[in-house]
Amino acid sequence: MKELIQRLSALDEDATAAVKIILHFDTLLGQGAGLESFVRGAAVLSGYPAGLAHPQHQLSLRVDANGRPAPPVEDLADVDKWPHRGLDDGSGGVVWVERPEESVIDAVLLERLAAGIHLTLERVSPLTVEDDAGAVEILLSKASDGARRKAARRLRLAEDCLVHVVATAVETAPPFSRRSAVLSTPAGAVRASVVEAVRFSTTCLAGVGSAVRLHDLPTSWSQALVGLRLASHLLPVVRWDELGALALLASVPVELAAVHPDVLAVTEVAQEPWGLDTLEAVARTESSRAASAVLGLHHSTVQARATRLEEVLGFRTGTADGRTRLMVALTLHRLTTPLGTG
Amino acid sequence: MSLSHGNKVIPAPPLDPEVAAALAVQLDRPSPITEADIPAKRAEDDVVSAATQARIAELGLERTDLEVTGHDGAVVPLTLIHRHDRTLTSPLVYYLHGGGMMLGTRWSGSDVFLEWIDRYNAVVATIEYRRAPEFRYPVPQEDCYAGLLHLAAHAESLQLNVSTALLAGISAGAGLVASVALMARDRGGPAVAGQLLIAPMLDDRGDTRSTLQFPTGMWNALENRLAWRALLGDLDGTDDVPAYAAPARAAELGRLPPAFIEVGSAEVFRDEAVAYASRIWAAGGQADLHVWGGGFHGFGTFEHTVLAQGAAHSLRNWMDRILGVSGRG
Repeated sequence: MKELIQRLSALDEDATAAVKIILHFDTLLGQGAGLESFVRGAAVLSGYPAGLAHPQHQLSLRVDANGRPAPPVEDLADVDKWPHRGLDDGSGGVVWVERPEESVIDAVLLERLAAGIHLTLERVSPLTVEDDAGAVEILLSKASDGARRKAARRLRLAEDCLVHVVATAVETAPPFSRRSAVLSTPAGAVRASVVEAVRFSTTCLAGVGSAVRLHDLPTSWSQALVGLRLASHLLPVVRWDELGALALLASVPVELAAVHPDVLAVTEVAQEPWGLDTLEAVARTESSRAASAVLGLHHSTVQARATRLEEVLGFRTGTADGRTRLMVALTLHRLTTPLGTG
Repeated sequence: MSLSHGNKVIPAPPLDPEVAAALAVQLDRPSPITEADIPAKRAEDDVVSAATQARIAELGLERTDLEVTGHDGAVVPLTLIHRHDRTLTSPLVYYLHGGGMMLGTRWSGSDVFLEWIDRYNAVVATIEYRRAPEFRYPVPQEDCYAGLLHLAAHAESLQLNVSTALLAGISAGAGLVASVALMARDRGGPAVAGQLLIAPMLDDRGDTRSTLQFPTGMWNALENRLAWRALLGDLDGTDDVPAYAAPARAAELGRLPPAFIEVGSAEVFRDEAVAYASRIWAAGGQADLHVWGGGFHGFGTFEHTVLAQGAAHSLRNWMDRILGVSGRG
């Protein structure tokens, strides 16, 4: 070890000492090293035993100058004799290097050691909902790269991971992910969850954005929101990737879409409690018999409703063209009404 | 040990002298175990199980019994064991017991996991997966995977961190660990920090040299066949055995958690363990492979032997690295 790692005590006052300290600890952090590796790094670089005491986590680590675990100090008060530093998290944790006389490199050494321990403790601690929600919000916003990286670390998302955003109604429990936050949107409050794989264990309305790199999460979030707006009892989970060109309707300005006669007609139909479900069943099926099967209603009931719908709409829904026109109008209606009403 | 195979005697590595001497004075056990022995062996397991639970209570450890919902809706018991003074950063070890997937309970092999509770202040989760032959593939594997999903889904209320957890198993339990790691990888499930495979049962095909070398002794080729047949039923002996049943069949072993693989040179599982490690490296993964000369299947239970001491030391060293500390108060 002595031959392989140049001790920094011999490099006092040398600016390269600080560079080496930073490089060493940054590499440990980047590789996901454990707590003791940071203490060992400090001991080996300084040439003196180093330690960590963290009562909250029952941690009492001490490593000698050769990198071997050493017995804990008998009295923590002894630590005050040596260069030492408390952790920034206010937890009462302390790190030290048992160098008899302070050296100029101790400040940066202890600062890096404390930071490495602090970040590693954070990495190995269980997630908590409050911290998660804040981190999710940062990732879905246009926050700076630095803030995003920190949030991703907090959520234990690898830098190169592919993740979806799932949007669900606030009152639904988030079954897919604990990486979840309630965010306010122009359409109302929505729960956003960041998931690695899309899995639904309960039936609820949900929109699913494309799988994206962390940087593109705001895009996946807006896609998920579109999906949620289009979700219905008949098709509860809407994936952006499956919308195809229909997704382009989301970019139609609301003021334009909302006043189109077809959309106004759908809005009128929506006043009836059965209106939207029937419209959607008609649009998604090829006959009123198939539509009644989807709705679980008697054929004659659906037949009568379909006739009434055609009167309001002003066009026939029995043809492929009519159903396409209906589907576009229905989609625009859902994109222009508040969540939970469409 | 040697065997006449195709009119040829196949030489096999000898046992370590201390291990052989310990085996010589061990209590008699039926060998090979057959299907008819299963009820009696399970009755023995139940006695051990009761004793272990009593010991855990005596040690003053805390125990939390949970219910996991299996892939088919069945309720699978899972127990968490830890010290009263566990902390938020106590590492989670998800333990899958051994017993050829036919025998053993979630309390089997407790000596091993009790040491982790002592040394690392770990929280051990151990699951009562349903066993073959009553429950064939995929039930044991899916039960174990469901346990991991449950731990991940309830990580917050249980105050656990699955991403820094270890999967750990011995023998058939190690085979299940390898299966769960593959399932988690392929299904986008929870990623863990490591997989501990002690004498893993990975390959149903039974065509390795080490299988041929050990037709008798502890967990011999015949018993191994019995276990695979019990797990696989009609699938046994076909080309259709899935990788989640026999991880050695996995098409590729990339993107798996770092593995620790331990095996004896004098056991059936030697060659499949070595091959598994080699394939992990070939795929760019991380593995520690330890082959202990003269170790039979389960040599680690003879803790007094210098061979078992070496193995325990190497395992601790790996766990120190993966868990980041060489013990804590």
